[in-house]
Amino acid sequence: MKTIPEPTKLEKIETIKRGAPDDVFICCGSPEERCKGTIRKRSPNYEANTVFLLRYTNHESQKREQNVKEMKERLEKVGKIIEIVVDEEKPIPIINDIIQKIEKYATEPRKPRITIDISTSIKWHLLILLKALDLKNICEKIRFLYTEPEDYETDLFQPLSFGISKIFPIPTYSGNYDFSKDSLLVLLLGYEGDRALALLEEMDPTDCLLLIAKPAYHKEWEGRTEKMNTGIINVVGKSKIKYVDSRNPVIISQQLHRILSNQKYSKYNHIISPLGTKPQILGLYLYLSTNPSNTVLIYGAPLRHNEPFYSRGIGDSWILPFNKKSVVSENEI
Amino acid sequence: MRVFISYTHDGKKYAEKVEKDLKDQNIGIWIDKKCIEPGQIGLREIDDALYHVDYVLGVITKHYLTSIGGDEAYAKISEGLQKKDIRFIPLFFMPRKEVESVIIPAIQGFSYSEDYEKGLHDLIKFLKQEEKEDAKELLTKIESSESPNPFRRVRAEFFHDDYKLLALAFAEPEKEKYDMIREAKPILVFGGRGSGKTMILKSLIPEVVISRLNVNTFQDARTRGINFFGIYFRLKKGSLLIYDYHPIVEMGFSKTGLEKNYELYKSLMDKLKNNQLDSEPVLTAGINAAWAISLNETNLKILKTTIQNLKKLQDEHIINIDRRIEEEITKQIIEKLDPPTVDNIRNFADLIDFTDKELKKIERYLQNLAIPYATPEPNWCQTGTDFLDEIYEVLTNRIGDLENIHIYLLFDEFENLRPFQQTIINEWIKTARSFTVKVASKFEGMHTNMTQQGQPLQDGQDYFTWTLDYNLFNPQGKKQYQNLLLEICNKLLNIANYKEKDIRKILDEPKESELPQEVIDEEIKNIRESAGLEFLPEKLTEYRNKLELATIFRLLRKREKVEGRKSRKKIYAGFETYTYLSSGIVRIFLNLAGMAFYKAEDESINVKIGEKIPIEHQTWSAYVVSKAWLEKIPMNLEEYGEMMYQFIVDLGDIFRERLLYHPTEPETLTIRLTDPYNLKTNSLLSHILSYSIRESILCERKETSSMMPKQSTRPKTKEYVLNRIYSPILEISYRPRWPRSSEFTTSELISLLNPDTRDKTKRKLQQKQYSKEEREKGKTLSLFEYTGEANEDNT
Repeated sequence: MKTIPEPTKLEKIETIKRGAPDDVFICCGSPEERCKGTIRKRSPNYEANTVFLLRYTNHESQKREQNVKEMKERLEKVGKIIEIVVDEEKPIPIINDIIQKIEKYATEPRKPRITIDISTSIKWHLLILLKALDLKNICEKIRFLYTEPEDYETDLFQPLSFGISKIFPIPTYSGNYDFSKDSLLVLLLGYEGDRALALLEEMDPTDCLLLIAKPAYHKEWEGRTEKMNTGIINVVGKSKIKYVDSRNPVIISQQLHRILSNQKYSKYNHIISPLGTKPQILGLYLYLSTNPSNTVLIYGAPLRHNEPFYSRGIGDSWILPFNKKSVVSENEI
Repeated sequence: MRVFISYTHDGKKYAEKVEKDLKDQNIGIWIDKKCIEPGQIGLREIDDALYHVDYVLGVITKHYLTSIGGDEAYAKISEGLQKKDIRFIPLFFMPRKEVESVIIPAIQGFSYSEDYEKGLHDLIKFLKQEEKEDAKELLTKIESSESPNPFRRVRAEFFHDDYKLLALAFAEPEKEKYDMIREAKPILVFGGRGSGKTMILKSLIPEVVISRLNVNTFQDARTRGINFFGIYFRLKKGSLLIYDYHPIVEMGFSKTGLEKNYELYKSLMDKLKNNQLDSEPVLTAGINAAWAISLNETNLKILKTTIQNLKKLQDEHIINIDRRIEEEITKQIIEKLDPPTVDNIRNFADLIDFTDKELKKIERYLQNLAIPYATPEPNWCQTGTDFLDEIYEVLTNRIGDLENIHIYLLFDEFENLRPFQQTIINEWIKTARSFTVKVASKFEGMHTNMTQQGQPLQDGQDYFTWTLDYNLFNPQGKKQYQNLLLEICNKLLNIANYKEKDIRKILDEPKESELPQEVIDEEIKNIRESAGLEFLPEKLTEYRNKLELATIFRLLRKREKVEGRKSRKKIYAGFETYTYLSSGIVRIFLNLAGMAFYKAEDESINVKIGEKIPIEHQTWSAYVVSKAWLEKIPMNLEEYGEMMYQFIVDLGDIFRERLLYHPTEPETLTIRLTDPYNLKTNSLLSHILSYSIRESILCERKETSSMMPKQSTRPKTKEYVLNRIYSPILEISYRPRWPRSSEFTTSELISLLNPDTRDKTKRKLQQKQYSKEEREKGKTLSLFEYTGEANEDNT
């Protein structure tokens, strides 16, 4: 029986190879406190030859600038910092540039030592980055780190974002679509119920599945996703809820495989929209690496984030398992 | 929820921040504020101003109490507030113990002085808990796929692939229009969300056709006069490989050899987004390359779908294609594709596999273009604009059941294509010989009328247009719409086994006016006389025609007791009223009826066995659906949703001002833009109006002779009618008595959209709604008295 790799809780970040600095450490500045999570947990010995600090600048944010300032101060002790400014709407050339830089700074091209903190990456950018890394055959050599927030401000049950900036197919994940089939919208739900409803309204699918993260990061968070998505659950129906893991990409990919390879869904195009957790993005990518047919990814970019009541604090940090060979069906376990 | 913020000059910045923060959190459908100064507040003004408010937030600063006249004045105000069922909530921007009042600190309020964010958090929590019902959530309940509500099926997609049920539920629109779509001519069907575009296209596919005719085979359908065969394509976002602009720019760089840099890349992407292609050879080269790829992709996907459909119908014995014919057809199609190798492609299944492989090649090419690690190679079968003509010629010649049949390609959601992709279909509209194109799109969804050959399509010549949203200003349009509604409701109630299937008999009609006629007439007299106009009893009918509805609104709002008034809320009930509220959009009518059904059944009224839905439930339904549709605007409308929402609420306030105070022509739902030629220079307003039309928030009225200026030198105007579904929640008239418009310039609307100038502009526009005489009398706004600074605007 194959063992499913588990996320590893991180108290301190050490280098991938003992005694040698990482080639590259990549992180992303954000208004969320947790963008500093892994950096604050680095061990005094942690070093990287180069640090890529990504900044999105489409929206002004004092909190983000404060966080970036602290990140820079801490990262100066890690290695040479290259600040990369990314236009949220036009990331592809930057992603390609990152890949080229990774290749340039890798001391051993076949065994690069790359650590990427995905805590506050933009989900659709992360998906394109994963594809780019995969095409270079270095995807599975990356160490992915993730820090949870300490909590979300959900006692107000205000959404984490408002409005829709635009709904679009994620570049390089569209076109695999069969006109003779109807569509099944698969929503990995988060805490943005209105965004999910807007996607449902726009995509007008024949059927819909609502994937809710379970178990939640913390026991006391159970039920929040359902509460924040009452509207869409009302429309689609409770019978369409399925549960997927919140934190382990390998389990997530297996669950996606199990759910979506069900015969009753084979008559549909699968339109998947990830509104859930970042580990679910990795899991989604692992699932997509099995080349399911007629699958398209759609994204609804929010108009603005609910910064005053977004995430709070810095929670646990994890190393996430990411291995395409681990994507097996439950029957094979 | 409606929230009013009162403050004094030393609390202005706090009031502005609270207002902004509440709006940012989407709390409250209507939030406004007023600076109060000593001596300016009177009970009457407060009553008028606070009539429609749920909460008054008082920004408690040092001068606040003094301004409202101390505790004694506050006690009087609060008495008045309580009678209106309005709550006063103090927001302490100074320590409570320092507030010089006995009363105010004792009232439950929220403290902001030490921790603003905590104060905001607590206020939001309180307001959310107090919200009586979430209209959007209620609407989702009745639309739920698990709901027993007979009107839950508001979209074609709800029928899944149950073509029999879809056929049962389909109600044919008026004959002359429906005959047009069944004829072999290109049609463009335009309509808003929920107007029935998909249902109309799907009614042309063979499965639905044979279900409606109650026959078993396509040949049987042919004997009943069917001479078309429809193939349906839903052009969803993501259904084609190129949607993002990135591959276009990449191909442009590649073709022109221009050196790439990120700034240039971003600039080119923005130009593509704004359709600014002039003098950009990179973009022209990129678009040409993208067009060729999209043409190939579209050809292959249409071929694949056609063959799949035929195979399915063949397997279900709906169409007869024997094996030999299938193989001959496959062979002929492969010859047209002319691949370098032909490996065992013998039948439809093989052909489908082959097209899949070709499509994968295109997909890989574009992927390599986006993430350039391999040199992309265009190695798929190349097809041209005539490819499909040749294919359908083969099919109609070889398949007996399709001999002399018109093939219709039915493209839904046309608006999701990029302009260069639309030119492909435009080309087919103009030049196709063996098939006919039928397109469905939202309004403003035709981004270009050009073909790839650079020729513009001519409406009425190359294609015909059918607009699905019914014009209720037009008696014939209204009648057609009502006939359609009756038929749709009949079918849905039949499917759900309701005893009564005539919706008119289920929606109980008000038997009498909501106020006694003599009270209304007396008020009409007062209105005219107050405005210095004569009142002639013999012209009462004429006065009622113009003023009755506005008078009812005014009497419902009046502070004093009004004889015969049972409620302050306007009644919305009956088939006729629901017709108007739905603004000619079927989905909205079904939402209204569905919500009324929901409420009635919740109150144990057995509508299924024939009990009528009471007026109060229908009224409740109208307000809930109205609120839900308004609140959906910021949620659903890409990019401009929040701006549009505020714009509509502001327009509502402006139209309401007219409704309540204009003495002769109070009702309006229409914006008349007096200088539409200036739209070209303002892309924001242009986009807002365009998106609003697309989403059926506004409807552009087509020019009629009544709109043409009498003097030829005066420029033409443009009119936009607000969707009537918003009128209950905005408390304005829904009735299209005749299309009286409120006039605006582009500059005024732009100022209204600008957060910095919005307040001032809105007050000005509200004032404009009074008659000239009222303005000359120096009538000030009842809702908002000007402070010293604003008085400059009155001169």
